[in-house]
Amino acid sequence: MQNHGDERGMQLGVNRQGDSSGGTSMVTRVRQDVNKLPQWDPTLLWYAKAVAEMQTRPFNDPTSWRYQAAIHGYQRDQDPFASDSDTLPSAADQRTFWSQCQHSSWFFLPWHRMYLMCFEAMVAATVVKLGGPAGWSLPYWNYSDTSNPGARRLPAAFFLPTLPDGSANALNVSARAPNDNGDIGMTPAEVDIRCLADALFTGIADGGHPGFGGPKTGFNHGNGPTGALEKTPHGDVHVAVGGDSGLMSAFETAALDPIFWLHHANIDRLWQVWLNRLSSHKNPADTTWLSASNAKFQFHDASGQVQTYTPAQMLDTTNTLLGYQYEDTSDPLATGAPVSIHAAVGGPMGAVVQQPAELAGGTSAAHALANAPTTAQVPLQAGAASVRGAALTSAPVARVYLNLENITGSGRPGGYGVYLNVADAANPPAQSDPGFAGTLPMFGVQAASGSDLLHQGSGLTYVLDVTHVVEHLKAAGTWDAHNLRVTFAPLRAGQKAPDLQVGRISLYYGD
Amino acid sequence: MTVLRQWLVWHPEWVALAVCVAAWSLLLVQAGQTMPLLALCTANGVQSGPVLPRVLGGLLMLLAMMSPRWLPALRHVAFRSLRQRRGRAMSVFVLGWLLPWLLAGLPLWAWQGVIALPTAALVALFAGAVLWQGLPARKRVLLRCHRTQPLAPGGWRAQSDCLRFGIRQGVDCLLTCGPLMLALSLAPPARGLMPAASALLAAELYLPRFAGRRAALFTALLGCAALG
Repeated sequence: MQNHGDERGMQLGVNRQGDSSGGTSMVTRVRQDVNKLPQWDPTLLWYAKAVAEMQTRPFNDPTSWRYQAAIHGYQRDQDPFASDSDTLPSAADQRTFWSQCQHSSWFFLPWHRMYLMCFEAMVAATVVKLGGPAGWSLPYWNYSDTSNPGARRLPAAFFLPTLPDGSANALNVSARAPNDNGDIGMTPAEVDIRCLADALFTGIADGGHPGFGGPKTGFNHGNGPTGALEKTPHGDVHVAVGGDSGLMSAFETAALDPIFWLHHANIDRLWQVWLNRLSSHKNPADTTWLSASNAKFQFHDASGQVQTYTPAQMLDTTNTLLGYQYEDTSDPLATGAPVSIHAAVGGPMGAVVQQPAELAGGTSAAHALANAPTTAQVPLQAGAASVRGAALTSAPVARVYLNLENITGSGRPGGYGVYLNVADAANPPAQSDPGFAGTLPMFGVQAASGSDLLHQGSGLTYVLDVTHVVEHLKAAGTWDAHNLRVTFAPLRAGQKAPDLQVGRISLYYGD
Repeated sequence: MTVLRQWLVWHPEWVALAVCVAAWSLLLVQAGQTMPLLALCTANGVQSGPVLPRVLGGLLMLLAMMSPRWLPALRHVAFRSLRQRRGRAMSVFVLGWLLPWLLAGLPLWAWQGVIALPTAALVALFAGAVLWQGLPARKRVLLRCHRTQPLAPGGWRAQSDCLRFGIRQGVDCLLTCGPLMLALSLAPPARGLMPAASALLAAELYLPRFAGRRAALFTALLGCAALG
């Protein structure tokens, strides 16, 4: 990839490569790291202007801001811009094009790639219409960049009230978590990228690993479990930015916040980073994922024409349809100790998971979460691990998975930190403590809890790989083979008292 | 591990397919004997006689036609249960699922005598089933057929949770499929309609884009075939 240097802003990230004739041709655009752009780099300035223009378009215009946001999710009673003067698309169009976001599904990544592709093209066309240069590319927000102390702050262009010319800044949205000069208090755990060490794209809803990309499903709005990348950092960042009442915290309003698109550009980038890490990291080869009838998704292109896309068309970002690459897809886990124990012992956990995970124990009643730490006792069957290990193969039990099943609730609650067997449950330790198992974002909990035309009402289901925590507990002598204590601590002080509950907390042994 | 054994390990819901095959096989074998196949499909033409064979026949027909719809729920029950009680959990789920259907079906199967509805009434029943196929309310219930719920791992709560889950699924299934099943039960006997209806009801569950208008059209075709 070329180093743009001083030309970065002016070229808007266009990558020119030599061709065989000795000339240059425009091959791919470059999506750039927003944290490496100057505050009002032309990429951001034109984005702000384009957003403002798209916000003036009528609601039933597929290239309008609100229409694009409604593709992710739409509930009229949750639309902050709902007006009697709105002209809505036809009911048929709403059914076909709106509320189509794929979550808790192996379609999560390809569907959002299609979504971003079409949105980016519309913004780029709008930039040209406003007199700007061609080739605008969506930047990404790399909040996990440990070399940048300010990476987790909102980029300045997204909270400054005005543009350099004094006009209102459309990128600045008030409906977010409170921020201090862009600092929304996002913690390292919420942007953790250990999911990049996961060996398999596709998960199985058997209690074991949910997969980097999510479980195999049909067309799906979420029936658990949620894929590893979708949980963290995707869900965590949504909730951290949106807070308890902001746009980013709910399926139905998230895409109304201009930062949504940079957030998802980063999620899209992490997909490429994962693929690049190891040759064994591969996308699914199933036709049911690539191109079957349930894998066809319709969007409008930049000219407003309906197009149908499949994940098979989304595999290579540099192809003629997508036409972009990321500024940086280097492996952030390449230095230092491997995050995943499996990665440390010589590679992925096998090309195929040999057998389903085995339930070791669980709660018998729902556990209510609160705005203070709470702890659940999870009875375990001491012999579960050996039963599984001996039952079908001679392979030893390798991984331990904490399942948080059928989480239901309402509103836009904040996330939780999850700890195992902490000594002082009322005052859990820091997230750097070895007893910290991971975060629990509540993005989409209300939508997932309701039974409607889009959701089954099962709630959210998350799976945390707690193998490292269990091994620490065993080494410290605090592991109890008959009972597990799971503590849930609100990530932020003063989180609203929710009506959240975890339907079942269970432990599985698996591959 | 052999390929078959591997497949069985990863698909504990294979039991539903086994039930489906077994039930259809029994029905076909018994056709024309003590449990005439066609008499099980429809109350139209059922003669007076012992109730038990007709009730068993109705139950067999229910198992044959509807067991493919258990697949996702049985999978959830199996994987979310302790290994040693997996079979029991799936059995209790199926029992719970059957209860609403038995309550709805028993009056029909146990009816003594012939039920011969006028054509207009049958047309109305099928029209109602077609209309129901296209309504948003039915789509909502159909989506709930994919719902999961937490299951206690042990003790009496494990049994009651599996039973309740089965009942909930059975009720949702009855709401989505009942109108069509009722129309077919009261229509003139027509071989082949029951497997076609079973395929339709399974397809709309596993192919969401088939549900709604396409499924309604298919239902209309079934009605025409039944009354033609």
